[in-house]
Amino acid sequence: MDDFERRLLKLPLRCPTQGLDDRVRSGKPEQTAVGQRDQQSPEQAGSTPPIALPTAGVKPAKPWNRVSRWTGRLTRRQRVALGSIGAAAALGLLLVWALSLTRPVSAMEKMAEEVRKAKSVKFTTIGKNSFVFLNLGNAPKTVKTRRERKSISYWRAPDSIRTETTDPSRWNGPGPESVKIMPGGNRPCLMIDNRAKTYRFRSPSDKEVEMTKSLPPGSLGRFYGDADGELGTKQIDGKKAYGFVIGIKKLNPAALSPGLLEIWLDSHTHLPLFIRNEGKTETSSWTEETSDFQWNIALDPKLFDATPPQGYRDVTPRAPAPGDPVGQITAALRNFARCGRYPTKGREVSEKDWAEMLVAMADLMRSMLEHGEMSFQVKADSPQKKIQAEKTAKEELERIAKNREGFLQLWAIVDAGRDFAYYDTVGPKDKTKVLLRWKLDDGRYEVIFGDLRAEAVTAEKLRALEGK
Amino acid sequence: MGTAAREGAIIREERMEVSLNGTLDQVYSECRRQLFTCALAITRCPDMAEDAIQEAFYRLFRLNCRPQNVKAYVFRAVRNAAIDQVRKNSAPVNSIPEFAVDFIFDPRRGPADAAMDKEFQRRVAETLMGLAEDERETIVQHLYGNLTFREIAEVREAPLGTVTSWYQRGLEKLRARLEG
Repeated sequence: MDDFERRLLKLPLRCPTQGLDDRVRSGKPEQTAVGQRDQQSPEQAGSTPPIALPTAGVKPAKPWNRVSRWTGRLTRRQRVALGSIGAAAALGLLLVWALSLTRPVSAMEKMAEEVRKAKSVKFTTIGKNSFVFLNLGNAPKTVKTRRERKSISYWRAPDSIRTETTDPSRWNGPGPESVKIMPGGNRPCLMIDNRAKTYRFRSPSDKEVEMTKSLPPGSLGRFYGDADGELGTKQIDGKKAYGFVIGIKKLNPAALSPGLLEIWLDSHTHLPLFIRNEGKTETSSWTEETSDFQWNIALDPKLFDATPPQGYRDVTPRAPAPGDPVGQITAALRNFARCGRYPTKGREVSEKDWAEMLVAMADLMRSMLEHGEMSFQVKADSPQKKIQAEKTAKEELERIAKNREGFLQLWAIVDAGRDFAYYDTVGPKDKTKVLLRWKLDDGRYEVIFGDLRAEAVTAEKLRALEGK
Repeated sequence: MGTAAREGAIIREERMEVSLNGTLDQVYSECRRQLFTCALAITRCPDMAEDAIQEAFYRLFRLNCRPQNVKAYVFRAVRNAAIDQVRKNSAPVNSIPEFAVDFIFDPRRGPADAAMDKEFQRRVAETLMGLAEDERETIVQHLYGNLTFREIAEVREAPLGTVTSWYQRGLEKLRARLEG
């Protein structure tokens, strides 16, 4: 104890009254309330005149002072408990505050929520597509073709889809021109071509199937966020509707183009009434208008039955016939290179999807040529032009058949799980750069260069080549 | 349990009660003034401090078991009773400015007391009032309540280190304000 403490100790303290001794020793509980004692005379109380200032000195008591003094009197355990309760309450308030700050649920999110709740829908789509083919004919040539299609689609939760498509200009029935049936889950999908009387099965993970599933309205249920713009309100089929514009990439990041989607929602149900979809890529452009939505209707389960129709030919891609993979692949690539470049792939597309797409593209072109739907065939109005067009079509059919064989070999290599790589930045002029390579059974690599030379090289040499 | 055993138990209880009451009486006699000061530091009202002591002892005299440290237990009981008093009588009953001036110290000093000491007492009271609750109460309990830090820790249900740090911090503040 230092001098300062000793000096403090010397200060005289207030003394309790003599009456306290009697009150304590009487063993009785507190009987003299403070307020009552004030009314007693000092003699009656047996004490010095009462002095009391129970709160903060001469200052008037403030509510906060009382609180802080009260908490100061609590035991440690009580303080910890009170602190925990206070912290929990503060966290709760913080959460409420944070939630109140978050933006209100947008109309688009309301729509997404309603779409997610939906059990089924039937809708009609009218699409107009323009394709650009770059390598038709003997010389590099750009050819455009247009198609208009009408589709009636059925969707049943969670992922069953049936789409019946008809091009009225070339098919009068009976039934739709083509039917896609995606039963859902991991079950194989069935693609029926009523015009060619063929069918093919596709894996649910195929690009074509994935693309169909990523189209509206199914993709609308996966949307979180705001629309890019508002279109106001209008009447659609006697219902009040409000519209939005949204980038397709927001709905489907893997979409090929950064097109826009115009969506009109029923102001009562928040479900789509009309959707307009526009897009454009390097080789195609399209416009699709979807309307006549019938939400949550009973759909016949047979609509999603993927049983092939009797009497139809199975054209499902199978492993290619034994042949010279290198020769067939280089032939297909050479055909493609007539337009000055090799097929592009894109980073987000897997090798297998890419190879399948090339095969499917060849199938599509063959189908269009067989049915005279290429624009150079349509324009063949004179006998000479018609003969020339038929000749060109025949040559093109042979070329497409070769392309298909080559791309099917490519698909088989990828499908076999071989170490495979394709560099779509390499062009026909890059003679020494590796365009394509895959691992052979003996451990070496088959390499196809930019000039379509082929060579089997060791892994070491491949590394050196790829280093270029 | 037989009659003899039951009688034995009763006798033991009576003896313990007599013994505890005697100890409590002794603690009261020895620490009467310190108890009052400590209660006063909480209630800031002499009447409420006395009521707190009376209430605490009323309960203590009815204890069925003997605490390990009777002195600390008594101080804790008085402290709790003082807190109860403050809660019950939150509004000021009356206001005497001299209490604000002198806090726990006796304002009725004799004529022999030097004016300088009176001024020091006023400044100590004023500075004590300005300290944090824990610091003020610890200083009062240790310096004027004559409680050791270990006893204060027991009374306050706080770690010993915390109590000493409250005391040191409060004392430093007092020293800085009074001597600085």
